[in-house]
Amino acid sequence: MLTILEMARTLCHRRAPHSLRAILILMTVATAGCSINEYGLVEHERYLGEGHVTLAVSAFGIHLDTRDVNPSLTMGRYQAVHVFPDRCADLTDVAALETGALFRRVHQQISISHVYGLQIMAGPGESSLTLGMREHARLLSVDQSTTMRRSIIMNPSEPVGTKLDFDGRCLK
Amino acid sequence: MVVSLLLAVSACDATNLYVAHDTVVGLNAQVSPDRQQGRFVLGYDRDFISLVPKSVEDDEDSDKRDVMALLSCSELEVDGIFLSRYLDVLVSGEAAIELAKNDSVTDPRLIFDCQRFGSRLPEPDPDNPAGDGQ
Repeated sequence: MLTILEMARTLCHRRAPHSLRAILILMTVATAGCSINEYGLVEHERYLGEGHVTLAVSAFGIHLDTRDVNPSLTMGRYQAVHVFPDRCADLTDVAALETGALFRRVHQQISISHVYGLQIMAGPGESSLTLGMREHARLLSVDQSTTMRRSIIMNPSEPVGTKLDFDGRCLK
Repeated sequence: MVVSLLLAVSACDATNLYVAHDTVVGLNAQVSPDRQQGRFVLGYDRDFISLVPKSVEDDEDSDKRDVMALLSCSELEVDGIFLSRYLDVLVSGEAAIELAKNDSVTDPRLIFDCQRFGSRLPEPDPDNPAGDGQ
């Protein structure tokens, strides 16, 4: 612990390069919490509403999320809302699935994320680097051969009020 | 200062029906097959993108191409720089074809009425049903 404090003192010293001080500050903020998917310092809230199962994820610090179609590593603040239909043509009770299985088996109808800090994302849908703030809303992403009916109304800050009417196949 | 540079990275047609909204304050660099483009933003940028595949495989003859059957309307509201409300109604594929074949409905607005699902857009003009952006 003493060594870490000494290192911090050195880096924060005025003679230390600005870049090193910035890295130290970023690391201090980031290491305040650490989480991987639903494990660690991450909060999950599940809402069962009209036609949907909505999952709200909130994490501080370093958060690695491998469940989404585009896995991401975030240092800073990560918030996301994922909306799943509560029933599909190929699965009648989505709400019964535990969180990991929900992501593995069911296509999200909508995913909205807010990132403050640094995020690296790499997946088949997108590879990106963000430094600052980003709101990313994937409102629809389906294969061209998909047959479906959908109507949805949602307010990202009030996920419980989401209304989803979905008729189609939704297993991955 | 906002510097935004869009780079076309692929000449291929989109294979996914893709709708997204993005707001960036700071730095963002991305490559996305769904968006069919690369993107570099330094500063502030917000965009709403809707990509519909230009052609899909014909179900009956794999050598043929057909347009994607889709009936859709989307409505997006922002509060400041953040998304505050999103609404969409869509029917795709065989379901859209069946709906369009419905001979008993003469007014296209009755086939696909976004107002019924909570749209806040003004009622369409009877003389110009598509004039409200649907």
